[in-house]
Amino acid sequence: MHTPSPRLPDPDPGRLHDERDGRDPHVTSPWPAPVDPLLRRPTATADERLARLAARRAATRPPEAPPTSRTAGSRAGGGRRPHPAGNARASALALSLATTVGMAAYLQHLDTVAAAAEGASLTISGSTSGSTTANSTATTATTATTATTATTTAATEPTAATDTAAATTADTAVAATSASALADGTYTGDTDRNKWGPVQVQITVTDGSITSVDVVQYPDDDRKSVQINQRALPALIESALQSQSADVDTVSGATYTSDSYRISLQSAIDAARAAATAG
Amino acid sequence: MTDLMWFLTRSSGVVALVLIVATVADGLMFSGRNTGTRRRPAWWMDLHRGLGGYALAFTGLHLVTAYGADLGVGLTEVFVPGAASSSTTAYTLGALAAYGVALVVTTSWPKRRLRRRTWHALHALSLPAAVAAGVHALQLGSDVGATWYTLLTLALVAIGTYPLALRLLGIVRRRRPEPAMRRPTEVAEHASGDERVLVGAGR
Repeated sequence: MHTPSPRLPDPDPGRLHDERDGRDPHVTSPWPAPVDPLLRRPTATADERLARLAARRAATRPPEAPPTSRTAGSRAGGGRRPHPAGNARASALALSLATTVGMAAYLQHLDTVAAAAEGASLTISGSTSGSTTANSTATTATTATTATTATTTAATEPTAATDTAAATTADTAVAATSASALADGTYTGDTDRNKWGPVQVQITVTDGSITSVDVVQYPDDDRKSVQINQRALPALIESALQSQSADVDTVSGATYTSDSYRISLQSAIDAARAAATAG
Repeated sequence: MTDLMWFLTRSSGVVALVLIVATVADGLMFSGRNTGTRRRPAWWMDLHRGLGGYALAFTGLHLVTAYGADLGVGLTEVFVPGAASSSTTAYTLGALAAYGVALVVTTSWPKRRLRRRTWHALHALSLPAAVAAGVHALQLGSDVGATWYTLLTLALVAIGTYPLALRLLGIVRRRRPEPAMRRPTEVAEHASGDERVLVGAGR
């Protein structure tokens, strides 16, 4: 009589017994393991077959390339491109470089054209007869400085009639108080130096009022200073012509130049007043 | 040489500003999922990183050429905010913008070493940095007033504003609470006619 082998309670009744190797693992079979009829060797368990499969794959897989700097870290392996937008990035870089160089050349061209139109040096001046502008002159910077030095001592020409004329022609209270004591002539103020350079102002007094203001020296050692002063000095000159005094407002962005301008302008006005007193 | 530096610092400053705005716009479009389907997100991310690096490089070029252009400013005035004696606000904003760009870009390279919240807080500095760079350019730019400069400024404002608006709209939509599910009784109260009959029949 056949007696069934002892069985343990099945922990997973839904699992097929032949899912792994065709045998119930809970059955202790007295028979040897089944033999593969073709290989003439016992049928391997699933674990053994998986181990053999892994060994075959490891043998047939090409060796992995050593990680490089472009594929290191999370980008290693997987065949991902290190820079999906590499072409766009290269284009952006080339465009940026070309724009930088091209724009620099274009700005230089504009600067050359502007310099040719305005002359080699600038003497910023203004007068009451016209608008205050940056006028070009044919003199160079060195000759302008030399001429300024010369006019410092020779420009005073006080006349006796200027006080009366200025008093009668001054139509504003400011002009009446500040310009009535000025003698006609051209007066050059002291040179005031600030951290950016010297500032020197020259005024022309006609009929007792300031009719022209020239800035014969201003910081022009660098392009930034030239640019700032070309904007600031006309405003300062306009303000001086309107106020007929050194009481001018500071131009934003040109604080030092404004301060030096006031000092030099005041010294020029003082010279005109002293000439009137002496005359 | 000084002339070359002078023109290069003007052009490199403009290019750096354009790159900063382009990087910020790219990042805003990417983070707002508004990049479309033509390109993969990795493409936009890679472009964003590249533009950020270029923006930092051209900012450095702008600083170097500005120092070499004999503008009357020293290293202290360039690198220390508030140290400039003239145009203090403009120089300060420029220095802060440069620091902001450098911080945002360099902390994005080792991003994985930072906590995401820390990285995100640092990365959000890109917006004020871009604004500071723009104000710096408007206050100190030598070509302010030129037509091309005005048009470029308007274009950059538009390029930066549009993705920012999309991003903010996306944030607002995500934070808006979803309408609560209506209970059957509420449905019955809002239903009428045959619908009410159907709701009642379903109980």
